[in-house]
Amino acid sequence: MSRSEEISSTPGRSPASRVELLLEAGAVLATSLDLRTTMGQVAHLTVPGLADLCAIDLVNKDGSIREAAVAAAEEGLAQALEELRARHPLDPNGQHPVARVTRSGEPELLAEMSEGLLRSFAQGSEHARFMIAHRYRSAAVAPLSARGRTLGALSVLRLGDSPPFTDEDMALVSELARRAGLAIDNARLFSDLRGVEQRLEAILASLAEAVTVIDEGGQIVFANQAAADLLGATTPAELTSAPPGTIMARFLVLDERGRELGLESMPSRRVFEGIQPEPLLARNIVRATGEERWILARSSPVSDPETGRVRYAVSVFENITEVKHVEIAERFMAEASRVLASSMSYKQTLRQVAELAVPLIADWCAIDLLGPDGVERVAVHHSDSERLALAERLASLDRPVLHEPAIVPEVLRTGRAQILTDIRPPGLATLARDREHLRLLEAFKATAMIIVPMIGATGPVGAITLVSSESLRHFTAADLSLAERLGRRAGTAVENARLYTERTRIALTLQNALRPQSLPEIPGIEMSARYSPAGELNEAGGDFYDVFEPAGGDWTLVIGDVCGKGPGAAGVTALARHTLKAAAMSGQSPLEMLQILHQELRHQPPGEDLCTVCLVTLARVGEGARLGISLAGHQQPLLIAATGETGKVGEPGTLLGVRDPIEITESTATLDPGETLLLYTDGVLEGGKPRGRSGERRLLELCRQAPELELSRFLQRIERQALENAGGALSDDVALLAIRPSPPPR
Amino acid sequence: MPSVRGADRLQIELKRGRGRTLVRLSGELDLANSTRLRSELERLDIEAESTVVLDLREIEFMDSSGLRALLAAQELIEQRGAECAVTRGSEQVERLLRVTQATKYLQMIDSPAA
Repeated sequence: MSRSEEISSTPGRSPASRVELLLEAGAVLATSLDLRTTMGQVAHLTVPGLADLCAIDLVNKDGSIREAAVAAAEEGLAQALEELRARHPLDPNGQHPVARVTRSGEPELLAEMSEGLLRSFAQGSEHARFMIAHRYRSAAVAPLSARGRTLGALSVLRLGDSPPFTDEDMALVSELARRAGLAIDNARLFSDLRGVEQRLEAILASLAEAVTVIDEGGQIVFANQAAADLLGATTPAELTSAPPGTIMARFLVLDERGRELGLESMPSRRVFEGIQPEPLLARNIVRATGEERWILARSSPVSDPETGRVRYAVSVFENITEVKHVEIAERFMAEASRVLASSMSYKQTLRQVAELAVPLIADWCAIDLLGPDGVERVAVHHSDSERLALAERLASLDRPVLHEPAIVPEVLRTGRAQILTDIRPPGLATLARDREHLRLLEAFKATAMIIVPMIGATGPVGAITLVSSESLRHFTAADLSLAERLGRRAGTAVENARLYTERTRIALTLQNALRPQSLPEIPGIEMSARYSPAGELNEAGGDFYDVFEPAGGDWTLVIGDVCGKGPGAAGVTALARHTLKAAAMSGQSPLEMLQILHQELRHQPPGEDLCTVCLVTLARVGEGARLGISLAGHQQPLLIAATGETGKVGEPGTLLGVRDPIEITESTATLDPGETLLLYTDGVLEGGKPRGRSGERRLLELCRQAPELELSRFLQRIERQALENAGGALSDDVALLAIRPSPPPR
Repeated sequence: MPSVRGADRLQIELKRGRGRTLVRLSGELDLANSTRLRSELERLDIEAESTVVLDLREIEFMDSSGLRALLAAQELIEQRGAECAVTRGSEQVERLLRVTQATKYLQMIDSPAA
């Protein structure tokens, strides 16, 4: 490499113009980030002021060298060089100055190049001839470096008679190359980033989930096609060009409980408050069409790496409408079924069902029942209390009359569901009964309606009306089928409840027939009775007891048990009680009374004919009483002494109603003041089906406490123990009757 | 014993011998399954002059409906001209038979082999 001081003061290459060159280069390098353009501009900066020819070569990732830009003062030269280089690429390991500089990272000044020198690094003879023909004279080659890496080389050449480059020129070229190197690095980084960005955009664009990016001002700056589809736009561009807030205004956004949500509740807005918001599940209703979607929105912040300030909110929206509809339908049906099964007071459960329906599946729900007196509206519900008042006023006017040509009566008559979609004010007139009714209907802003029958086994028992109003939602076929399911479930529940109510009424009537309304008073004798039936109320039957006043004779106490349960058994039980009473009243003896009952029972159908009876006659003797005990297949009563000592009294006799002859013996006992006689049925022992004698043992233990207890409390304890033994649910009726002569007054 | 409700709690096993049929009952004989005994016996071809033994030793619980079923079974057997015998049962069964004096109508035996 030769250096020449003399040539440093070449005219036209003043320091001022050098500074200008660098300034110009700075401007060029700062404005554009596109690599090819930038390199072209840099090359052109040097020609013709500094050089006759300028080439910029870059090192590829594989180490090969490619020409990035060529500028030449002479017309056609740049293109010719480019074509030559294309045919004869530079050998990166060869002796060409560009190759050497890219390897060494050091600048090279070739002030004067002889033909021999040119030939020495030419890439073949064509290249050598080219350089010689174009009179290559002087060259300065500087590395393009950035971050310690040599990215390529900037070569300037002077041809023919142009003066050779000086060290100063070399320094200028090196400085220019240094700046260009940084620019190349930036451009590459930018290009990489663009590549990443383009790939990212491609990914986002192809995502099924809707993605938007919103800036601090609420402007959508990016949206993919899925977002455009979800938000009702044709293209993403329609979203990015819409003013902030205008897209959101197209929708009514409600939370799961039907409350309207404002812009400030959106996760994409909350991100800018510096928090990582929870995902938001919202019901999104397109105001224009009433179309309803359930959307799960998640947003994350994109912060400025330097200031930490949130610049963007990236939001992902998932349309979970179908999943949500199925979930809502199933949840609603499960809840409704649970409510309907929870109680037999069906008017109340229907009110609960109406409450469940709002706002989950409708904005307003009304339930009408078909009763013996016509149609009765038993439930009206609206989520908004003001609207509820309106709904109730409407309901009072809208009381359906079965023979009117209105929708609810029609559904009740035909048993067929009706769906009205897209109700508009003119259509309301046909539904309205009068002007007041119309005014209310209009105030209600109903947009859609479903009326389904509640179907029981015998046909429609009522109707459920679901109305969509302020939520604007449309009712779909899925909503109709859900409502129909509800109608069937509710219809069955109502019918069951009515049957149950009827059965319960019958059962209660029957049970009341099994026992006296109140016990008579026997002077000087404390008396108490308890009865608790097993199972449901309507499984009446079984046990009975009574106390008959004497018709001049002794008092008669009876307790008994008819085998079986249900109305049949209850009928026999009532028969037993009344037969015994009638016999007692006509002055029959205990054995005659039992014989009469036995004969009556023999006429009953098998299975409901077996009966056990304990019959005790009582005659006052002084402070105490004389007892006559007759047992027909029944438990022996217990006689509890004042000390708590307990014994059984009476002779076991045969049961009634099954076999002839019966064998019953009356035995006697005395009951002194403070002593207790307990008559009971086997439910006391076997309500819980204890194995062995534990039921009897426990009863005898309780009897020890009897003398200290009031009679009613004693019986309460026995009953409670029987219930405990049975694990809370008696499998057999329990009847208890006890007497105790009062101790003489002191 | 499986803790199922209703009819499953009663097991009925039939064993036919010469002039003698053993009906072994186990579980519970009560309101829930009292009709089963009769229907089982109705299907059984009972020979006149034979003996049918109702074996109650494995019965853990019997209520008045069960007793009614037992008496109905005896009636059916006797209508076919056969003899009916009933073994003694658990303490609870014994107590029921004693309290109701059903022993007066039934031919009680100590063991089915007798």
